[in-house]
Amino acid sequence: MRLMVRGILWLGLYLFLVLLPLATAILSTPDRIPQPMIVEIGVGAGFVGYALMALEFALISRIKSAAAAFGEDALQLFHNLMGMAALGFLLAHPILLIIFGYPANCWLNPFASCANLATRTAALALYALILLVLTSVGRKRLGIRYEVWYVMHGLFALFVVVVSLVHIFILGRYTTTPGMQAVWLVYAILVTALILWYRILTPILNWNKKWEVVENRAELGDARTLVLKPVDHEGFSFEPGQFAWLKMGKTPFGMGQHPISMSSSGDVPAGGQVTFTIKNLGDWSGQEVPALQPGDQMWLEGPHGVFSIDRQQAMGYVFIGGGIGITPLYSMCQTMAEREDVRPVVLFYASNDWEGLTLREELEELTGRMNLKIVHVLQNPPEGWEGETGYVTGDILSRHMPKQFRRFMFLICGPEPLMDAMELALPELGVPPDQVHTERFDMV
Amino acid sequence: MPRLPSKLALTKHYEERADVHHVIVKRVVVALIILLIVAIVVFAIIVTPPLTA
Repeated sequence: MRLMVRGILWLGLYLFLVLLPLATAILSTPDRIPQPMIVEIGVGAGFVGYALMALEFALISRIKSAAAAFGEDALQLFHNLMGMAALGFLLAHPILLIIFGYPANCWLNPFASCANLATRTAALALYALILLVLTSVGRKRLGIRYEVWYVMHGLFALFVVVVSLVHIFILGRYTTTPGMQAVWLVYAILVTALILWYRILTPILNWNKKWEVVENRAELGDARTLVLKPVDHEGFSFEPGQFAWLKMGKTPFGMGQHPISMSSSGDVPAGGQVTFTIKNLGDWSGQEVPALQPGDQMWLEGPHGVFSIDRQQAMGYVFIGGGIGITPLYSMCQTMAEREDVRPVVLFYASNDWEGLTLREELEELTGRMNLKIVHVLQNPPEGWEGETGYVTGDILSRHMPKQFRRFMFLICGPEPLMDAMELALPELGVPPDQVHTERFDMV
Repeated sequence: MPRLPSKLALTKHYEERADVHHVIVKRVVVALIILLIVAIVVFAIIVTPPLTA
């Protein structure tokens, strides 16, 4: 089935499930007390908000068919944005009811004397959702460790969905008909099934797919390269530029997992090794990764992602990388060299300084094996540096790109400011926007 | 010497690729939110009993 058709089908199913409570409420004719329109709009906002919230589980459950159609990072972005939309609808729900005249104190203060189980569940679910969104948007600013946030995020989300369902059933206004009861049952089953799939079944299926650390070496730019080999299984081949979720521990049930791009060639033979290059960002990458020893056990889940030359065919490529964003681009270069691909590649590699250019020597080595030109752009160049300095700009790009660059595909991976700047600069140089592809590392 | 992919192969690949960019995701989200707001209003209009004189 074509990916676009599959994508449309998944989006259609998503929309169907979001609208299911509203449609069923219209079609079923419960014996309920008529309410003014503003109250019904509030109720509708609650239904939609609840459905969006429940479906958030589906967006990150890594269902392969959906991930193949959209790309894992696009689904993650969709999950983030729809989470905020769910909060918006679920905030509109009490606001509209309070505007109509529902007592704010009883509905927003779970400790008020007039509060009952229905109001308390509503308030608790809403506050948990606000906390969930705030801790996700501001995780780094709040200094919450990724592993702690990961557990907290799942628990808060589950709490919101379960407590909201309890709230709906206690109120009972939209649970009297078999149709509506079936809808809420579908949602309860869906959320339970997704959690079982994601947290229990997927790790069980991975049980016999252990990986072992073969080597853990230091790289330039305060990074480390982990070489992993599959233990008694075939491992996986991948499209260069893709990533996998890495998990440490004796079992695949551990909570902390990290999306990391592969930095080796994508054409891995059965049972072949896979490498990951990880920059020290102070958390897991700085504390636990350097301590890994040959023989240590790891778990990989993947490959994922659509940022790859295999998906963006062109007569030539311009790669723009910054910092540790070089890893998927290096994987693509390495794969092209192994395939004896003759297409030209111009790589713009931005860094603070010369010693911060992770995989610099490995990339230099590739220039002798493929049609690769590397342009280093340094913010703090060493004395006597004659190359490009400062940030990557349109001017720097035009100085080094071949004449036919408008027919090339542009793949960009690096810090957000670099990618934002390039998404603006490239159209100004006449590069069609559909030839510009970015991979934003900050997925979680 | 490896050959460049043919024009036909390239066209086929373009048709098959998952052309989802971040901008497209954001546009889909905005469209979806508008659609959902409209659906909520339609729902409210239908389930609210008509005003009687």
